[in-house]
Amino acid sequence: MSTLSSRAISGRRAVLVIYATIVALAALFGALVGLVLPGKENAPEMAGFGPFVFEITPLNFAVYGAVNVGLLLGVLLLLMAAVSKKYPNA
Amino acid sequence: MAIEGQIALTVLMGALLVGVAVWLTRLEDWRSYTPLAGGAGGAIGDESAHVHEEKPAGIIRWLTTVDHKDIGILYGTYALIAFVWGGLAAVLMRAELATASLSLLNNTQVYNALLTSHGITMLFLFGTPILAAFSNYFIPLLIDADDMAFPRINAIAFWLLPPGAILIWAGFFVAPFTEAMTTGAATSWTMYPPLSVEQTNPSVDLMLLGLHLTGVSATMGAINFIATIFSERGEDVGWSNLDIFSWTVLTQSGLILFAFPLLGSAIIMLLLDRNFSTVFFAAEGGGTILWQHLFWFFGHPEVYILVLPPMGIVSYVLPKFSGRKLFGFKFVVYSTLAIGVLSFGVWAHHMFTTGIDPRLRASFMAVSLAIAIPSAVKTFNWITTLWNGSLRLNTPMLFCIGFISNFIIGGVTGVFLAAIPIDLVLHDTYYVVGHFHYVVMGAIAFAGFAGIYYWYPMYTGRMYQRTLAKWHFWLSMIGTNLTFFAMIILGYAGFTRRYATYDGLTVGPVEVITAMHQAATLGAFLLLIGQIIWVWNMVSSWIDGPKVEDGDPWNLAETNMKSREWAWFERKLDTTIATDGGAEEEPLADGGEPTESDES
Ligand code: HEM
Ligand SMILES: [Cu+2]
Repeated sequence: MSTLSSRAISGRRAVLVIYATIVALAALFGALVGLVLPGKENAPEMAGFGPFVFEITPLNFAVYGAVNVGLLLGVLLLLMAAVSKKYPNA
Repeated sequence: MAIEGQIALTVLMGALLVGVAVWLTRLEDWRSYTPLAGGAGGAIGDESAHVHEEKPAGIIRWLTTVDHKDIGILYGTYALIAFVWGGLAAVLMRAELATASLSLLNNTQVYNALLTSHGITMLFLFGTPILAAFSNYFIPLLIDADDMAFPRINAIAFWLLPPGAILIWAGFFVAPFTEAMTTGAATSWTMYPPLSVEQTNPSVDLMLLGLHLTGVSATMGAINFIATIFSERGEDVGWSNLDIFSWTVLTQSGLILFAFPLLGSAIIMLLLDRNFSTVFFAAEGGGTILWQHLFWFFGHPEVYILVLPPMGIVSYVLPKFSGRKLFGFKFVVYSTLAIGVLSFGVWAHHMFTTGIDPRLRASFMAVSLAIAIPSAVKTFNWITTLWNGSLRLNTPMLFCIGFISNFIIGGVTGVFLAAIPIDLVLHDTYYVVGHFHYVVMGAIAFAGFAGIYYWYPMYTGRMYQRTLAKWHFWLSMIGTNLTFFAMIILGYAGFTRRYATYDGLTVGPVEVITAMHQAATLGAFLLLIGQIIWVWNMVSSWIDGPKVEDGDPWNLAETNMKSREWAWFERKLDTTIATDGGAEEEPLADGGEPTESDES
């Protein structure tokens, strides 16, 4: 036996898949937190920050989680893409 | 037995020990020994053949070896045994937690003992040794050294570990035979007084002594690695082209040097408090918070001691299958050094709820947030490496990618804990358990698996079964995320850690808590199945996997990624064929495994 190379896939696609998975996990996470929070003692009615205030429901929290994590990691992803374009051989 | 009797016994044992030491110095002229050249780098051909002659056969070889590769294998085997023990303890705990009331274990104290044994075993007997396995085997090869700087100290450091493990686990073995001992030590891995002082169970003392031994072992190893990396590098290995794995091990060794001796001293104080009525950690003496300061001044660096070399492995292996070199190598090294320095300035983030001075708290919060930056820099560089690469998704690579994604989740949850207002709510809940397991299982263990698969052809001379390896990866990835994700949710629901039961809950979302516990247990069983497959694959492939005849089994030359250790392997294969003309079967070493190194 000599070679073990499996077929190659593009790094960009892999990174985007990881990104999508983590955002999906964040949505699931938000949904579950939206589920457990109201059951706690003296839990608040509403959540959010600034002008974005909403009721604590699984759906709202899923969107909240996905948007937050998506934006945060999205900005980092764009930054990373820009850096690697600028310094392709670093 | 009266107190005089005990003193007499102590003196007798002391005399016996001195006698043994004297006898050992008489027995042999130790100075006549020359460390065996490891056949690294240039030492091929004649040199290796000569080594073979000097190595005794069978078990004696393993008991007397000072060859860094053999010692690496010993560390690896040891770590595997510890992993099995710690893993089974975890499985028992998770099985117990599948139901709300006590159903599997005899009493809650057994649960506490399992919890303690799991934590201590995984951190000190699995985590640190598995990293030492990699650094022992590969650093001399990577830096073109003949062996470690002090080969015999290397062997001593390893041989301190088995007695350490026996002492740490002793409570479980001895308890069935004596009234005095109830079960294993049940102090939790943090050993906080007053609990750890007041527990009369002697297995706590044995555990502390065993821990002390493992600390001495780690310190000796660290000194050895620092000396080796500083002074044994080959001619063409300078600081500028030192590989990333050696950089992380060098930094790790520095951390060990400052952290472990402190733990050793603190343990001694605890032993004195337990047995000789000193008051180091008693309220009328130093106070219980003193222990927490000392313990976490060790404990936080310890988590980086555990994570830096795995980061090195990922930084090393990831580029190999991305077809491009590590992005921003220099910054990865700088961030390693930055983590090394900063990790000594964050310990009190484990003590936010203890009532320490709020001004102190704030400064520790600031440094804790700052330490996330170098970790983020590394992640950034890994992702960039992937981004422009073309990836070959074989098992080592899958584990590297799994490392990155789990480390992101573990790191982000950690940053939240570092914020005081959030920590006040989440401290001592399952959220913390979820956070650090994302790092220790999801990242550290994954990097270990990546390294074990990546170098498997080199240390066994054989190839593993790839389908089983993929099963191992996916079961581990799904199991980890199921188990620890559920724990994070449990934390949000307010469920506190270190409880054996949860019947009689009246506050909180009871059904969600039950469901999450069951999800975590399910995940743990997926992990168990995955690891059984892994052990089976490793052992059976070692015995009769296909032999590797190509010095570059990963085809690294294609992308210009072939590194020093594979070049060494290629030379070794060449000399094997030249000297024993492809002899059929190698003599079996102990354990029925073909001798894996120096078969030339
Ligand atoms: C990204 C940077 C990190 C930050 C900001 C961070 C922060 C924290 C904080 C604040 C706690 C205390 C939580 C509490 O008890 O209330 C904690 C606990 C813990 N962290 Fe992290 N962490 C980070 C990375 C890591 C890494 C890399 C590891 C492991 C290698 C780790 C392992 C642990 C462990 C073992 C505990 C729990 C100790 C215990 O109470 O038993 N953390 N972390
Ligand atoms: Cu910490």
